[in-house]
Amino acid sequence: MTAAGGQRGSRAIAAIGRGLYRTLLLAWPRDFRDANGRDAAEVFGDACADSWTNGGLVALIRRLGRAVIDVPWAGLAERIGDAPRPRLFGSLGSDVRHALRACRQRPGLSLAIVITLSLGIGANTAIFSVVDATLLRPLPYADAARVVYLRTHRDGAKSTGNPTAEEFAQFAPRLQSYSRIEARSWQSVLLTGGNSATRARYLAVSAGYLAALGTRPIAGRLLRPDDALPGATAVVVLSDRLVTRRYGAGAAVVGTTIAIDDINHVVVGVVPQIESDTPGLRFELYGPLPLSGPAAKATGVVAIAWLKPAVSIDTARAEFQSLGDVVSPSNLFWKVRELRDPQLALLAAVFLLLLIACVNVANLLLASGQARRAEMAVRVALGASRMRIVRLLLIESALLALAGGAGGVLIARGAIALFTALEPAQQLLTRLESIEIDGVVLGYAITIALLTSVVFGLVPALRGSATPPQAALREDDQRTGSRLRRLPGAFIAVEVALSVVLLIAAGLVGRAFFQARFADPGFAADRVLTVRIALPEARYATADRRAQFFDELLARARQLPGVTAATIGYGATPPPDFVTQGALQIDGSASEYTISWLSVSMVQPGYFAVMGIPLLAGRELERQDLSVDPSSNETPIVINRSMAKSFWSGRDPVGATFRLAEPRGPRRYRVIGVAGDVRDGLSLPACDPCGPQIYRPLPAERQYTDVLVRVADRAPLPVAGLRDAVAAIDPGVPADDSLQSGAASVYSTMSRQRFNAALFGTFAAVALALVGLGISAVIAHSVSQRTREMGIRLALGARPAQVRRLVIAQGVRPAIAGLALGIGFTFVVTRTMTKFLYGVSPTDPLTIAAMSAVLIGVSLAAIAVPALRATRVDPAKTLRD
Amino acid sequence: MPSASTTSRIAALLPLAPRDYLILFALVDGPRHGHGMLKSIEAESHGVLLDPANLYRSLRKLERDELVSETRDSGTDTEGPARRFYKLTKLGRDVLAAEAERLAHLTDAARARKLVPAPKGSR
Repeated sequence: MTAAGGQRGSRAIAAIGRGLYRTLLLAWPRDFRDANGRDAAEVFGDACADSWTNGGLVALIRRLGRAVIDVPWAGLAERIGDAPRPRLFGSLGSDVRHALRACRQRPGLSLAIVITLSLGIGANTAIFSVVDATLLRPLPYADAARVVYLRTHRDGAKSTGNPTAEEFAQFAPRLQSYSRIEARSWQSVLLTGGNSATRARYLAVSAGYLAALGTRPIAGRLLRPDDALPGATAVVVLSDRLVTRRYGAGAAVVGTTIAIDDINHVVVGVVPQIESDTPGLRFELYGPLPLSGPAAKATGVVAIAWLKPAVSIDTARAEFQSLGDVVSPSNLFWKVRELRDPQLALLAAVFLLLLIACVNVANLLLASGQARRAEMAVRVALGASRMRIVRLLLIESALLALAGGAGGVLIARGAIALFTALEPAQQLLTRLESIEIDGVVLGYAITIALLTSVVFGLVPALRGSATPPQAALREDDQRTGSRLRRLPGAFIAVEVALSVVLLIAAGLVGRAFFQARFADPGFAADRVLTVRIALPEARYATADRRAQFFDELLARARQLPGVTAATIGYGATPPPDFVTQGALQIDGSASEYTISWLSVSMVQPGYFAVMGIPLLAGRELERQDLSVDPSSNETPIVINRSMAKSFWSGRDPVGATFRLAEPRGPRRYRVIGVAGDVRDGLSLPACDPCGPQIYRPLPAERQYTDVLVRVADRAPLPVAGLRDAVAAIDPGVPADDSLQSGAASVYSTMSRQRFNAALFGTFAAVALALVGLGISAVIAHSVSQRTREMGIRLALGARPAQVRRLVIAQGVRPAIAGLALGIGFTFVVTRTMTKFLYGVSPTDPLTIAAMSAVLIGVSLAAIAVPALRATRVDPAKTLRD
Repeated sequence: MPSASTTSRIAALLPLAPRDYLILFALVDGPRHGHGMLKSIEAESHGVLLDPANLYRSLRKLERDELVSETRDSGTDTEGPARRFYKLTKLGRDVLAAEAERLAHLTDAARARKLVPAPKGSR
């Protein structure tokens, strides 16, 4: 985010804050508003902008929420404080009984209000709880508000935005603006040794990083600066979760040696599970970040710094920019902002939903309030004070809001259970286990609902009680042109407008999901079956033993019905399992590229045929390629189309040689072929260019490998057959839980799209239900109010069809107007959602048309029921009544 | 030293409501406008949010009691020329000092009973 953009954002927020505050101030006495209203609103706007700048969205919401609750109450207190205080809650018991009776007298209306509130409050609370628990939590650092990330540019190369460890070691000591600077770099490693090999997430960190997160060792120690020195013993700190997973709870691992990528490391400490600053990433091992030597040159790091209290971001920025001789400084970057766009879209959707619910309640209450003017007039005529009527209505509204709140809690619980079920792998929502119904949000939603029902319940009642009884009663009798009568139409329009925005947003997200779901992943996903084999080390100690096992398994697999080919591979189906990074230097070319994410697949001859990945140029790996010694010769590899395009731009890469300096040492490669791109759920439905990928020869004797079989078209996947084949060779080799089709493994990476689709789908469903309910109740109410008019029309010779048209027009006209308004509004809103949409245009006409049709359909259905009832009026009866 | 009549006026205004105390305290270093006061009060009170309407309501009361007055002098805040600035009156300063003293006595009493640690304790 640029500084100018930030300023614009702050100004917009200040303006919104001012506007909201002026509305809230309506609760205060007029003389106060005249004297101080403008000043107070100004101050509030500025305070909102401050909150946003310093504390982000969380602080802003906190301030807005407090104001919404505090200001009207304080205003009411101020108004009452000037007058002699009435006994607001005297004879509470009798009033509650009275209110319950009033609710029972209008069961349809009361039920509609309670359901509306339940849906609105429930959906809101659930979604906000999930979003809060997963996205809105502050960074896991102490003093997170002062944390900045230091980013750099790379001239003439693919910009990674991150410095290397070597650059970090050079510039970090020169910066004076920070009380502390740390760096981290993540890698995925293979824990070898023991009876099984397993993938784990490894974080190379600067010496103070763990302490900066407030981590204390459970056993042993944290990392020290001398651990990173060249020649020091390789050490590692484990998370207790990894210890439990791999070595058993309470194991004494400190001091023991474990093999990481076949290199021995001494375990020096155990730490509790640490919250990562990237949602979805959990680390299990921490090792020292190399700060010098070739590994430091090849390791990209995220540099995290804590601003000193007295230093402004601008000063720090200027200092960083002065580092031009070490790196090309890009920008300082507040981490807290990174998630903002998705957050805002979600919260906007949540808020829209609450707004729809409130409009619905207001609508229902206004309709009934109009009818109750007569009731109020009678009460006044019988000697009830205005205060007494206000109290009665307050209690009624409170009862309805409480019932709605209780229903809301039930719905929220169900919804949270649903979201948890959608994320079994917890790839996206790491903290789902900790999600609880957020009391603050629930309170906030109920308060808004309560305020809505109080305000809209009171307005018509007060008007009723202020009218002289005779006039009100006469008016009731005549039911002539009240201004309030036009209001339901306006409400229908607003409601439709709000829900069409949500519906179209949901439609777009859903479309993006399905597009990704059914897009071509670049290989025959539904014809490939894989099983992950980890051979127990004790029984498969020699390479020959291991190679023999795989040879036999492949032979058996090829015999299975429907199987046309079989091979072994490692990291060979999406999602990428083995990712590396490093500096790429093509022989005969001057420029050096930094690759921050290079996925590596280790494959054997025949792999591309099994997977159905097209070979675009050159040849595939052959048997003689497997025996090339990587220490003396270039390793022959196949690269993907995107890598060829990115680094050879148009020239033929086949035959080219290059050097890749990886964190664990440099390697030389020779390109022998180019294959088509393979996409996983994160890059579907399309990526251009996709991430670079290389296919390296896989030695046949690895302990930890996938077996891949290709199944003929229309033949069933031989799941049981493959499992039995493994068991027939060695029942001690586990295969069950890792059997997976290629399509399933692609699908498993689509959790983000899936989750978004579910979330917005829920919004849309709730919005539709609310709109249907609202329109139906309003039209029904209006029909019941106009029974006499209908009766007269019918008596004077109107045909039932004419009366029906009259009623339908009353609902359809505002619905159409609302639809037009909403679609216009949608163009503004969905533009902010492009991050959710993965290639679907935010103005996709098909989605807009389809969703409008759905909404119109629901509106028509909602109108039709009461309209049909209108024509069943018996003219003689209504005129007699 | 305040005169006898001022002393009795001060006594009549004590104890100050916590909010009033914070508002007066925000003006010790010179005149401020509403936003300046709000920022200072929220910073002093560690995250407690103050509502602007209540701030102005309190300011009106403090103005009636002649503890603060409006001023044109922009003092320590320089932004926004059109805003209303408030400053501490002589009486306001005396009342604030008297209240601070009263609170200090209370804190001492609490310390004497080991309710809170001595000043050089953990915090």
